[in-house]
Amino acid sequence: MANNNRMLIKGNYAIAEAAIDAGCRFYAGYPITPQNEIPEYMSKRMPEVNGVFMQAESELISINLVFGAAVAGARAMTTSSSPGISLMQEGISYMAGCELPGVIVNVMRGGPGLGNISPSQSDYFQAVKPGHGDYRLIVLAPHNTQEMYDFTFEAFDLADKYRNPVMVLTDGLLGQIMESIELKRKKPELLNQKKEWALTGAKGRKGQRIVSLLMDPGALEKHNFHLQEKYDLIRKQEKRYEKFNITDDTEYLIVAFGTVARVSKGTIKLDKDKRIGLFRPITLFPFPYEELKEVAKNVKKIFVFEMNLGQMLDDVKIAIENSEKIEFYGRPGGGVPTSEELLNFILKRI
Amino acid sequence: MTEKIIIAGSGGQGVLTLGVFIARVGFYEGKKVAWLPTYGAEKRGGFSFCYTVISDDEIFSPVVETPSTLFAFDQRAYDTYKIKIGKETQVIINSSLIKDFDRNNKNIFKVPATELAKDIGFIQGMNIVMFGVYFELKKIFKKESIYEVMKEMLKGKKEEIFSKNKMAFEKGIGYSNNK
Repeated sequence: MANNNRMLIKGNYAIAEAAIDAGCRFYAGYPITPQNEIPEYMSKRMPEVNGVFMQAESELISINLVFGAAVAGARAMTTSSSPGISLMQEGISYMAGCELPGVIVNVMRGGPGLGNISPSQSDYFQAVKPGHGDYRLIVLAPHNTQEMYDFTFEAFDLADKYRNPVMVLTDGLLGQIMESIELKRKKPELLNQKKEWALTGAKGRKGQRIVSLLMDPGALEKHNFHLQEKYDLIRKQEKRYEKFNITDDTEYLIVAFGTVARVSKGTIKLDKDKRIGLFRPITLFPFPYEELKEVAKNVKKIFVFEMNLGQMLDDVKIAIENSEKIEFYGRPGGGVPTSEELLNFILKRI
Repeated sequence: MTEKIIIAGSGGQGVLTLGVFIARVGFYEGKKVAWLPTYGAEKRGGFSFCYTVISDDEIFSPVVETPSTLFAFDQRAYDTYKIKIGKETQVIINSSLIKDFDRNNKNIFKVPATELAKDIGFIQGMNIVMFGVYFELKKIFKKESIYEVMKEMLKGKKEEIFSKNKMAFEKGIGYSNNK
């Protein structure tokens, strides 16, 4: 439903539409709640834009199809929810090793195991400290439908810019919620940048290859140092965060991402004394350690809120050396806190 | 203005559809809206609910703790959500299917919505009868917006479906005025 440039849209559809707008023309996926609207939408939209929609026979295949499309130079995406992302870990590591761009969306649900289908943030570790090998993903965490669109759109440029897989880490609530967004359809910056490294057939040029198996003595070590340099550059250039209601008078600081960050904004609005602020990491890798440290310097207490039992908490502790100031409250297994609940916790602890 | 709505009933009664409808009316009138459904394992006859929030300001939490309006379509829905009823909550119950409720609560408005919908030969319109009551009690939307959004949502369907929905809506308005 559109009204000028405003559009009323479900989070999952916003992700799918953003991918199309970003020039993604290859999508592979396998059904799993709560992200099923994405493959559903893609199955209809991809043929309309001369793209490829593949329903894979499992998530293992989805990620390897994306690998194949990416190695040939295409903008490619897969989406899934927590257990499905676990199945993709091997392929994601191969993509990182081969330096292949691609977008992976995780609409998180409760775990461990098959868990349930309620919203969760329990895959934070898996996203920022991912599978085997010394690699990193760029991880973007939207907190409303507008950002589901914006971040998915930008993820494709980031992936191409660094030749690295990018993960959009979101959850069932943000996937299912329908909100109005402002559609600023723009051109993806790097869409037409030529990918010299892509395997497009060696006609008229020397053959090239892309592998993640590096058996020559020292080759893999060298490759890892090269990857590390890239991650350092990402750390330097791509950190993103939001400061909400942070002033010189802020006494208490909430640190939260995604759904819990928006719920925390409600908490701040409920607080009559206006002394609570929010620091919201937007990129979970690279994590804005220094910026958080700076903001936390003068506050009395830091409240870390998550829909898990303390994962981002580790990164907050890395940022803030005085961890006695830190209080944690989490809801695991599909529990979603309310603004009132978080305020009550704060009031009890101050 | 912030209106926090919970709609609860059973799969097939139009719980989610009414939520989407109200969200679209809010959107049509330029308000901020958020709609959050139950999802996944729902089926006809299973428990179903959704949250719809309409506001002039940014909506932070789409999860409704204490609703400003609660729609209960059947007894199970009322029983499940009665704990969420606050002092200010406007409760609208489908009294065709809810017999056991707090008769001391003056904010409970009973409407025999299933029967009224049957009267016009459109039992599917029960949710819209309920909405008609809500429209009249709360008076936050314009009538034109209702018809415009109805038209949009029913695009491609028979003209008859639109007029039936309109009748159901007016039936709800009429009932609340005669109470």
